[in-house]
Amino acid sequence: MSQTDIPTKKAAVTPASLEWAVPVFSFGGAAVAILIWMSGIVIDLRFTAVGCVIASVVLAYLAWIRPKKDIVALTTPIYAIIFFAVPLDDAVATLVLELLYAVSLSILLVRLKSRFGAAAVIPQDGTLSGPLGDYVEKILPACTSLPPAAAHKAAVTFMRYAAGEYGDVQDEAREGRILLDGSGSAPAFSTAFEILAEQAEITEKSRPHTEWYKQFTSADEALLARPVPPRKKNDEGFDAGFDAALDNALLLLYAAAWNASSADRPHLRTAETFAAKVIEG
Amino acid sequence: MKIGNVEVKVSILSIGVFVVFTIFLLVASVYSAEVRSQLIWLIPGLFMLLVIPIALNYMSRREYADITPAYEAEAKTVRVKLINENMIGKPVRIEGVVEKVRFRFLNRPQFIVADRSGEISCKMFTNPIEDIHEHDVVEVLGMVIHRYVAVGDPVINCVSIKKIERKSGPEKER
Repeated sequence: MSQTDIPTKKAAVTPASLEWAVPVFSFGGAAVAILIWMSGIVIDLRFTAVGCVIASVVLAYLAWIRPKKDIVALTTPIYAIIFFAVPLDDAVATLVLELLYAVSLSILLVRLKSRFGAAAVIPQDGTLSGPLGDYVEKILPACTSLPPAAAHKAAVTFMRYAAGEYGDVQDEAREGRILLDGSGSAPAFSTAFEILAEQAEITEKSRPHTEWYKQFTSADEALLARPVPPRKKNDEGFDAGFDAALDNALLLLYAAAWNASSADRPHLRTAETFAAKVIEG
Repeated sequence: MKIGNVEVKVSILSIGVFVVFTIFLLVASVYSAEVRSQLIWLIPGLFMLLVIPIALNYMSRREYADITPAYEAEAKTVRVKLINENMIGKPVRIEGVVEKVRFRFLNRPQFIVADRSGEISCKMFTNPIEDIHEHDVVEVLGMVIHRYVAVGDPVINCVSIKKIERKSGPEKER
């Protein structure tokens, strides 16, 4: 089953092109107002403030599509309406207000880009983006032998873990493990279920993990997102292998579910940010 | 200041507001006979600027003290990286290093707590029982919420934050 089975639809406007719209509309509106004022045409200059209102809405949209929201940029349309709905008698005051507002929006746009990261890119063709998409695509051949019921169970197990329902994870993972018996699929999938069951139990009971815990073998590495670190505690008693086992198990089950249980993709999409965070470390 | 078993702290902002309005009232009462005639109402009103924040702080702290045992029993210890939007409404416990403290002067401190896997904002609606500073190693109990009520990245609505080790540099956890 390929990711490209989903109907494709290209995005018409990208966030990068929308970023240009903020200074273009805000300064454009102010420029039109200046031209009208200089040419001596007697009309209400406030209609040129529409450029600032549109720029504010675009800025708010750019803030909305980022994973980390900027409350200042999100509220700029409110300020735009407040500023420009009140009539000003003086034309010069209107021009100055528009210019200052355009400068403010441009500063907020720079702030948004530098402090709140890039916009979340959701491909319109139904695929996953970034390292997560690459990983899911990489292990696609290994997922063809997965029974659909087991792939569905992988989705349920992953989603339960993402939601912090650790008690349920143990049951779902054990059932998923049983469904894989005799399927001929790679042993790494069974190991992933076992790791999740074990670690969910440890978390649910708030127990410290033991010296010996379930880990992938070196033979599984071809299917894993990360290399398997050795079981070894550092000077502070921290064992990186324990966390890496969980990360690899979560990602393997996410990829298995995505590739072999297309009906679960809408649910998996809701946890895409989480899975992307896990793979990006 | 202690009311019953609850340690109450007044924010710098509240004290500042009280001081500014006190000075304003003193000056106005010197120059205006009309203001002097209203002092019987203005002085109690002035003290309400301190009493109301103290009362709110007391109620918040008492509420937090009441619900902390329930969180201690139910919260699961997780890595910061594992906290995500699907966990909204779930009680969690994290351990890490305080990287930044913001808005302490408002009595609404926001602690940026980091562990080996990442960092997260822990918002409190009153000051914690003990003073928490940058580089302190802490245990945080709280509920996962959206940053802005219904939108934004997941953050922790912190119910309890306490030091669990002696002061340590950030390089120890990182």
